[in-house]
Amino acid sequence: MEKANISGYQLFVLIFLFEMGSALLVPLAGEAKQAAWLVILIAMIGGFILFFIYYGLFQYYPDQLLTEFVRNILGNFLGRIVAFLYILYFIYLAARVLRDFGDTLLTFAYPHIPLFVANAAFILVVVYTVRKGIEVVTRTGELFFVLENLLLMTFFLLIIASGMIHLNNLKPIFEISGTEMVKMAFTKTVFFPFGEIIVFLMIFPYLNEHKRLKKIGIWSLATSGLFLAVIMAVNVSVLGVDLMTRSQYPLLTLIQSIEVAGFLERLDVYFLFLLMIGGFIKICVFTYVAVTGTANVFNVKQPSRLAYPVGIVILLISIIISSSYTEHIHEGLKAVPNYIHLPFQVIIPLLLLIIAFFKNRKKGKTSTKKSS
Amino acid sequence: MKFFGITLLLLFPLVVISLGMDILMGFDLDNSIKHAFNPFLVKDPAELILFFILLAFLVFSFFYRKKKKKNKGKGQQ
Repeated sequence: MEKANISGYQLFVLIFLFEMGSALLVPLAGEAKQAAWLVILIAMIGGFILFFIYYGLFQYYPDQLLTEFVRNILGNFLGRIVAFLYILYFIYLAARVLRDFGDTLLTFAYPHIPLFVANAAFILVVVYTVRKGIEVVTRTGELFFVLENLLLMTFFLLIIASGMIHLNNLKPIFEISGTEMVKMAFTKTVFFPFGEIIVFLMIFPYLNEHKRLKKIGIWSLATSGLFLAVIMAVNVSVLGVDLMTRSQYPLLTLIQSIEVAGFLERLDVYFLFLLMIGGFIKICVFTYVAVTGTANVFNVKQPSRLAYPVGIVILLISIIISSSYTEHIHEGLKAVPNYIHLPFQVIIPLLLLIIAFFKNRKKGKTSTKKSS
Repeated sequence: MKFFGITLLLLFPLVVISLGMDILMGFDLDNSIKHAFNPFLVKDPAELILFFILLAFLVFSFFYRKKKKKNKGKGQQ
């Protein structure tokens, strides 16, 4: 674990940008049609529950990384295996996000560049940032946070000014039943993007004000959830359900359709900026966490030396992961939530929390007996 | 050499996972292996050059650090 401190505000910014990252890109909860924004809000509540599980774990071991306290809870051998599996999980997710962004860039901006080159350019910048440490990542996040909010604000102003919002497109909200909404929220949307906050178990120990963590976590999840819900509602109200579900990148379609006063149009660069900011921070966080975790599990004294090898692994996996974007998205929607997110975000942390609870209760009992 | 080992230890299980995901999606093993490694077989010259440069940097970084350590050792003696 490197010697670094991050403030509450920096953590808030990091979680916010991380959550917004690739969730802006895809039609989040698109299957819910008009109720997509409502499903996102329900999933946000699920995200709070998951956050409380992680927060509970963090409270038992406030100065330890996820890869460290897993070994304390499960013992050295089994703990090391689980920690290694978590590292694989983080690298796999980093590769998935990198692939998302590489493919998006090729689809709408650079059709003649090979995917490998786009991904390599992206990961090299990430590797450089990760080598500099978590403080540099968070400070970069702080700068980007201002830019992202300015972009979002002007984006909303432009949308409103162009008069494209038709609230009737949001009706009927309850075309699908409430139970279906909850099912959709708790089987898909809660894992992506809200459940991915588990990576922050590797960053929470750097926070200089542990007491404020609960507030920071909830606020950042709530803010990002609200933003995502509003953006999805705007998507549906402008594009309509049909176009929104058919569009590969609804936000891009939305931004392309902005036309104010006959001259302010083709604002694709907005999408590009939002994309780059979110994607960069998300891949940075995943890579940093993978590097720190690997250094921790394999007892490497200088984690920064691992940044380049881990970056190359992420790059190779991002290419190997699937043969086409369609397959990549299909895999991400059908297989990843059930086979990868569910065990790593819910089952293992829940088991760890239960074991940690009993272990620490035993410790508490023996210490009170000794004191009496 | 430790870093080389770690890199391979991370890479192989992840390749297996991505092949496993393909199999879960309904492909057979042959097809999923083809899908996984096809992008490396049909590279543009520019892509290939970049790929080898990145790999060379990776290999070079292991050896370079080793040499640096040896020099340090000699200096101390």
